[in-house]
Amino acid sequence: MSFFRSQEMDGWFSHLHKDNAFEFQFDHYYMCLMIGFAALRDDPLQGGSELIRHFPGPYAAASKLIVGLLLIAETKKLGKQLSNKRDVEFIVQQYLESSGSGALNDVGFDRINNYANGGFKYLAEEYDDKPYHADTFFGWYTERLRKLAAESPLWSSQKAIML
Amino acid sequence: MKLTLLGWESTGLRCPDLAIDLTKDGIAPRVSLVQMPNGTGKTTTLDLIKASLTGRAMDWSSDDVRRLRRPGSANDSGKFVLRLLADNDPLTFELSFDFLEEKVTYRTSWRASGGIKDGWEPPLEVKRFLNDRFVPLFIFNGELAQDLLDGRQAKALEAIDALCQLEHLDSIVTVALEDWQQATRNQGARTASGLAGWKSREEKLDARLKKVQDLRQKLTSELSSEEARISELQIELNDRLKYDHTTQKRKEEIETKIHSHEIALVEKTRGILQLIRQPQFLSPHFAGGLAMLKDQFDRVRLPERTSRQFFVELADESQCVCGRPIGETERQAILGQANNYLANELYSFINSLKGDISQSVLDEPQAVSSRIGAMVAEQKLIRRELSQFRTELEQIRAESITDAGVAAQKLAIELKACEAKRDELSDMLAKIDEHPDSDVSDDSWSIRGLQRELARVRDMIAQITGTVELKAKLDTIQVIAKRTKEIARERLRGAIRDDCNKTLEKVLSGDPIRIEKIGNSLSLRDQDGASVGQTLAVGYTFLTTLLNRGAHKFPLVVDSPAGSLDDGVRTRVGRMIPALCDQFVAFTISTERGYFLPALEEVAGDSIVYLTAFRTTKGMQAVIDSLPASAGRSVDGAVVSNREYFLKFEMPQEQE
Repeated sequence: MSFFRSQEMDGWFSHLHKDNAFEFQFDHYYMCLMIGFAALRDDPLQGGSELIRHFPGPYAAASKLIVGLLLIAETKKLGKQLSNKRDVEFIVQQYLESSGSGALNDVGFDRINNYANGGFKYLAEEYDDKPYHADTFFGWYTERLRKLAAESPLWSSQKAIML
Repeated sequence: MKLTLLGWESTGLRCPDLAIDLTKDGIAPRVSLVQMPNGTGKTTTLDLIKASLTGRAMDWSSDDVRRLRRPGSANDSGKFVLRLLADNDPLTFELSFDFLEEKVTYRTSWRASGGIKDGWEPPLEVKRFLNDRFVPLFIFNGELAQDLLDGRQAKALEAIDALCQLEHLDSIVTVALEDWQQATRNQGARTASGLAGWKSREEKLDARLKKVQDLRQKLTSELSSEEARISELQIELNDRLKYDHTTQKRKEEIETKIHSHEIALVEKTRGILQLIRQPQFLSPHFAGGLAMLKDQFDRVRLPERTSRQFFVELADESQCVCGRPIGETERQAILGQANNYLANELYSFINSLKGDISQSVLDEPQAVSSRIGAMVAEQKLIRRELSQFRTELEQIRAESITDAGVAAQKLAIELKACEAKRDELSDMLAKIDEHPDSDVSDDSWSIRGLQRELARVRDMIAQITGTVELKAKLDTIQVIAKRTKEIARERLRGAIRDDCNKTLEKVLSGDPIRIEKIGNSLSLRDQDGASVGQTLAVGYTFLTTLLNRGAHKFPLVVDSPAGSLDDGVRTRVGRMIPALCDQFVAFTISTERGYFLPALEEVAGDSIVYLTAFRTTKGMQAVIDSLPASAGRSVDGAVVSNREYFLKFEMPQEQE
């Protein structure tokens, strides 16, 4: 299994490449994914195209944190409790390869791809047009993400830590 | 390798406490006769000898162990020690019975390996023969000899395979198969048809790559021409544009600022992206959520110190960490418990995640406002100033072009068209030169993507080619192993048959019985069946020929070797056996002595040890009272090593 994204995703972000904003197509995927997490929106991805089988270099350091956010989101979705050890073990076992590499298993990839797709759908619906300039888009994106998380029943219940 | 049985000693077990010494003057004679009345524990002793040799007592159930406890006894332990020589070096197996825990533990003593070792640890050169298939070939009852001639069984074939260890040929195939499966585990195609598919894809990708490379060359050439033309037009236009000193100075200042702002904008954008790529900076609630996740892991004590592997490995043990034996019930309970724990590796992941959260969230200095927000604000300011500078520069140029006349205006129009063309070509080349981080399709425009995909496909072809070749090699190994086994069996059967017939000719002179063929069983020449005596003679001959083949020599240990034979046959078998092997150990009862013992003595001479062993019960008081001074005594048994005593010993209740 791999990271899969909607066919339209790259086209939607294409203008930002002219702005030298992105180095990796995974950047698009990631930004959609974070919106999907913030909005707790997961839209089933039908088909889609394969992006990459693992977190690319610039994301290696944050890969476990990203998986951590998936675990938090899925705990909420499944009605499980992080304060319950067996629930936590169930979630970890459900979504991760037992190799301990932090790699997602098929179920984990399926879920994370759905969140990225949900996030992409949200962006396409909410942003006026395709993004043309990174400064404009980044500003809108980061503000919207913070707002979504702050209003989300899941994330707003967490203590805010400004970094 | 020569294995010699020296004796054994049992205490606290179902059989009487006895120390049996099969040696005479420190040497194992050709024949050792152990006369044990029925009920003295012959079967138990033979089972213990087999268990000592095979190490199987470790797998015994609680019932198996309990059955060996002395009936009516309150003793908590028992011991059986078997003494042997392996190539003239003493080898001892010691079985300790714990009747409370209902388990058996082994100790092995072997000088060459440094003395006593816990566990069943025979030397490797001996170990390969000490298994369930081979040991029953030299420690057996008379039935085996009959089974060898039974066409419904494959005892003869099994015996040859066991001795010559032809199963090693199967092991070679198994190892090769495992190696091949390992090599091909992650590959989709294992056949030549799969290879053809990948080669077809290689051709397509190669053709596409060449096409895109040609296009790139053409576009680069066109771009170069456009840029050259743009450069000419810019020079020509600039020559026509006239700026006064003040305007010229302002123009140069603006151009410098545009340049520095463009650089700053790229740097700022990349800086923001670096922060965006770390989710804890994106939202304070994400950071808080991650901190909460670590806190919950800590609260529920994850990772645990015990992982699933601990229980899975424990279930494989014969004994628990608390010392109790692990049977099937316990094994299932332990494996059930294992399901409540994560694998080691998943605990390792949780640990790493906690470490990353600590480092990235908890140890990170907190800010008053979002770092990303601050950088985005700075980025917007740079973008706004850049736009202003570009607009101002455009205005200066536009005014200058208007002032420079029609020719300059035409040059400006052409320059704009060339710049549009250049941008179009640049876009196309950017597409060709991009670094896709995903797998590319066969019609991709990316040269690097196509090159990477082509390399992957070629690597796959190389692997598959290797797989196909590996599979061909595996098939060859299978054919060789199978054929080798067939040929080896055929030749061994022929050679063993000839050896057996030579021996039969010698030991049964006057008897025309011969082995015609060794298939699954032994077939006799010119006769459909054989008498009991003939059967035993052929069976013993076959087994001893096998056991003493090559450099290997094993003792022949038989329970009641003459029990079912008539007088004439006893004489023949008695004469034959000492000639067949270096050591013959027979468990007998007094009624077997007639005709059999004189025949044995006739051939073995004085290389015979005569042992009489019995349980010292109340009913045996008269016998106990008449024991010679040299008799060995224990709480419940006696053993006498004396020919005269052996010959005179009678138990009225004994029956054959």
